[in-house]
Amino acid sequence: MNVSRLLLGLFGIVVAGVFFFDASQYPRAAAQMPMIYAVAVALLSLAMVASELRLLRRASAFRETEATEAYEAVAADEANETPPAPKRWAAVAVIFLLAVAYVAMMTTLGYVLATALFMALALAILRTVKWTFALIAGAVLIGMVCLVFVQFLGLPIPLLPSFL
Amino acid sequence: MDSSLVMIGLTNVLSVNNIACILGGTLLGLFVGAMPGLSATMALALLLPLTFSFDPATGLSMLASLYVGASYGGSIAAILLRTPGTPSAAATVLDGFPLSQQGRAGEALGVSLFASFFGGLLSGIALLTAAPLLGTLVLEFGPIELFAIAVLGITIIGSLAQGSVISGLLSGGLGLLLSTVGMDLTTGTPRMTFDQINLFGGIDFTVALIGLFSVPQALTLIENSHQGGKVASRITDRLMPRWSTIKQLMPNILRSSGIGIVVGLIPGTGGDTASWFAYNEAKRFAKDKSQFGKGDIAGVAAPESANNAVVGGALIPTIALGIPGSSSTAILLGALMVQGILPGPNLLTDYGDVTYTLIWAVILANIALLVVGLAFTKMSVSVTKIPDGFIACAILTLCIIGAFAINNSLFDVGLMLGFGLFGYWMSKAGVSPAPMVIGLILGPVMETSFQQSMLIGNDSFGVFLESPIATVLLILALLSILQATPFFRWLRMPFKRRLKQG
Repeated sequence: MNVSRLLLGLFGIVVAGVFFFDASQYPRAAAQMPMIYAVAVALLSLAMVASELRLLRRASAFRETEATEAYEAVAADEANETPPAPKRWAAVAVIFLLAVAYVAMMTTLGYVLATALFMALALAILRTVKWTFALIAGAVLIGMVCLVFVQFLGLPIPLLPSFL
Repeated sequence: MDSSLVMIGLTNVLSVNNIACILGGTLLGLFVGAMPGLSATMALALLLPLTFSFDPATGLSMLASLYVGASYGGSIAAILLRTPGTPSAAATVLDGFPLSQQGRAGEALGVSLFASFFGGLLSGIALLTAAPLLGTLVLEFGPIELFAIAVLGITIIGSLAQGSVISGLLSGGLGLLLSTVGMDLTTGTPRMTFDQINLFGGIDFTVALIGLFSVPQALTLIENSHQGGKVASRITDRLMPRWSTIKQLMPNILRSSGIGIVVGLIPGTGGDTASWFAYNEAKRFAKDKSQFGKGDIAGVAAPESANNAVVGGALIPTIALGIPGSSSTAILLGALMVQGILPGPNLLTDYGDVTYTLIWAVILANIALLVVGLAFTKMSVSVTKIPDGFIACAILTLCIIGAFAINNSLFDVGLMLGFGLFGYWMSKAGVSPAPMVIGLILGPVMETSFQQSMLIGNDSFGVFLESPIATVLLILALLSILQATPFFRWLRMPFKRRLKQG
């Protein structure tokens, strides 16, 4: 069973419910399509939840039957193989939150400082990039973005901190 | 086909500015495609805000050439790193990497380049001839037929997208639902805006695109980033293949290109489907099948010509019907929308000059691919060595500035990050975001054509059955959903039993 799929299915039901309830208060012409889509999403989400629960039940039944020997043999084979490298979930969460903070501070710190801080902190968390490469490549990236987006496209974003 | 519009399109694309953008876009696509973990769709999504200030011909030329370049670029990592640079290069690994191990990396890359060139060129010619023919047919369509096409488009894309049919249709349904956010044009009612003025105009399709396609890729690169650089095979032999090799591979290339064009025509299927299909057919027609998987050059030519041929094929329903066949063509359609050009069958008539510019850009991009590929393939090897961690952080900064560039609004950036997180969740759940993006694009088209149909039919749903074309399209839509349910398996059982007994 995929927990993410199960949660997505439940989320779909909630979202469909919210849209349906909200749409019921609109005039008829405005309510038609949102209600039709909400019903479709709710039914599909229910189907997703049902299929995940069915898989969970099948997996539990498989573990309890005579197939347990085969299951243990497969588990033993898997134990002998080299384990895959662990996923860096904590790094994903922290760097995403850093990105949110980067957006929040962009106008206060200025684009250049905010981007440099974000890149430096994120790469320090990852620890997979040499600091010389990070410095040079980071400077090139910030330079190119300033050239293309600020200079060429005329994006109205402050480059320097607002307190300077 | 209006020949004056065809010539206008060609003239537009042949300006110095546009040729430079085509060469630049192809080179960028080559580098992006060569880097494992990045996709053409992600690069297109990031480049889209940049094209806002360009004129339509230039912006579209650049995007089309990036798409073409990335379709070939994926083979570079596949052959040298044993990792496909893009999903459509997965089949190329099977014979491409063994060739590089035998010291024939240059030969493999050269054949891949020429096969990509021929495949892309043939599909560009097919696009130039087929799209207008389909377009004249579609001029007969009214709101009822347009609604039916949109429904068929969503259901086919949903049922054929990666993952299960339920996932694909749910993704499409969520896209349609989100497309209703904003002010309803008929009644002026704000829908699901939570009194947020930034949502009155609806959810910008580009914001969702950048979030759904680029942020999850960056987060996935972070998730899998570990110490240890990528080791690429060296190119020690010549890149330019012998003419006798190309001649020998030509039947394979032509067949694979045909497969790519046909697969591209079907909404929801893309380069990955076409490349595997072409690889299997190449193996079936090969005199010595035992060499496949061990370094048979035909095993490189087949998938590469197919995955480049998909580009033109996928643009045929996009341009003729206004239904994007894949997430990449959805972005190209989005680029048209950003220029104020609405998707639909009138793309070839009311906006024919821009549409034909796009078609010619695809053809010219394949010629540029040959030039750029021969000159820069060896250089792109060094691009593959950039650490994944840096690429991930760079993608996030580009996403943020790209989303800000759309409307100069930090709200859009926040919305983009929200979509990014949701896209990451979807990737863990095995749900493709492509149907969601297509739902966001087709939602307004569906709603408008539905309301017009209801007016025509005096609020009766029976109006959709009064049109034979709409009835057939809606039946096909229903079949595409049912084909994945137990109902179809139950229907097929008596036939299967009879076959077994026979």
